[in-house]
Amino acid sequence: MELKTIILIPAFNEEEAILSTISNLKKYKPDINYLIINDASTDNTEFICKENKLNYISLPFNLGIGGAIQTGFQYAIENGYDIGIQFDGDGQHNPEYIEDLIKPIKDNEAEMVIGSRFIDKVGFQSSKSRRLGIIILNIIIHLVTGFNIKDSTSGFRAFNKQMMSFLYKDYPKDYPEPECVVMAKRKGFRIKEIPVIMNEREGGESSISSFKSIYYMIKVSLAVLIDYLKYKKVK
Amino acid sequence: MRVLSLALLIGTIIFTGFVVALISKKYIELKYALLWFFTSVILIIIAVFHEIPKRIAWLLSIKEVTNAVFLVAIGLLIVVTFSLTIALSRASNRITKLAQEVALLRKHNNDNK
Repeated sequence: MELKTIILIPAFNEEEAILSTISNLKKYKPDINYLIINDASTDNTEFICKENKLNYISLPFNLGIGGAIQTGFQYAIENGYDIGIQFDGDGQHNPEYIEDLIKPIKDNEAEMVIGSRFIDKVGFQSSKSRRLGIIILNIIIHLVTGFNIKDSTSGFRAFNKQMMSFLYKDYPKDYPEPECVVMAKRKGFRIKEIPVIMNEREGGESSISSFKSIYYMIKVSLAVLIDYLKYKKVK
Repeated sequence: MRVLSLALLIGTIIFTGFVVALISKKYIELKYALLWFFTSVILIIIAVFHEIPKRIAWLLSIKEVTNAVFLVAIGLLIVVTFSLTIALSRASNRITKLAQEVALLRKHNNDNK
């Protein structure tokens, strides 16, 4: 049975990269289903989507990456999709890995699949300080869930229907990626990481500037620990 | 102590009147007003029976009764602020959900045009 798949692209001020992101996706698979979630961008993102007749949805005000992707989950569920793939609108992710990302879900090996930069350690590896931050988060996640994760902040992920139904009710708002891993693990979902190669972003800014990185680390660490208390372990 | 409790009594009565006026004008919801009512009732009780703050002061070995009154007041303020944080979080979650629904509905409408 063919599983219906949709690419969910959260976009905040991505006017430089959004068109090439979509054309890359279409080059990969011409009849690909996708949805751009314009998170109240202040630049021309919405105009570009409208002019080029892209499939997009516009939030009335900025909700942050978590609220945006959650809207995508809801859209995917309401429109009967089996798999949702979170895909960045800034050109960091490569469409050729989509098939690899879906495979563990098709084979019923996992409910969530994460594309990881640090398994084969090739391609864009992020800055040293960020890698250190990611390693610290990985350790915290390991302590809390016992799950060995290599790239807890990767936003290149595939979710199956059950996972989306769970996340669309309750999804972290600001920096959802590491928290989401803990929530899923606590709920007894299976997570698999596969190696991918990522590019450096084409345009726009990361949702985490260096200035905010300390705040980010404290907040996410705290959130992960709260999730540990909030979600009772299943199984 | 006399002056303090008199000031407290007058203050709380004015405050309670203010709360009632705001509720009748529907500026604040009854749900949140209840908390403020509760607060003013406690303050009135303390103002009328100033044996209570004296007892509290004695129990906690606080020398000045005034300090015991402050302690109670700060305690009440913490409860009120905390309940506001809860209400605010709930409201912001609901607003997020609404924003998402609005976006989805608008998309649905545009697609069917």
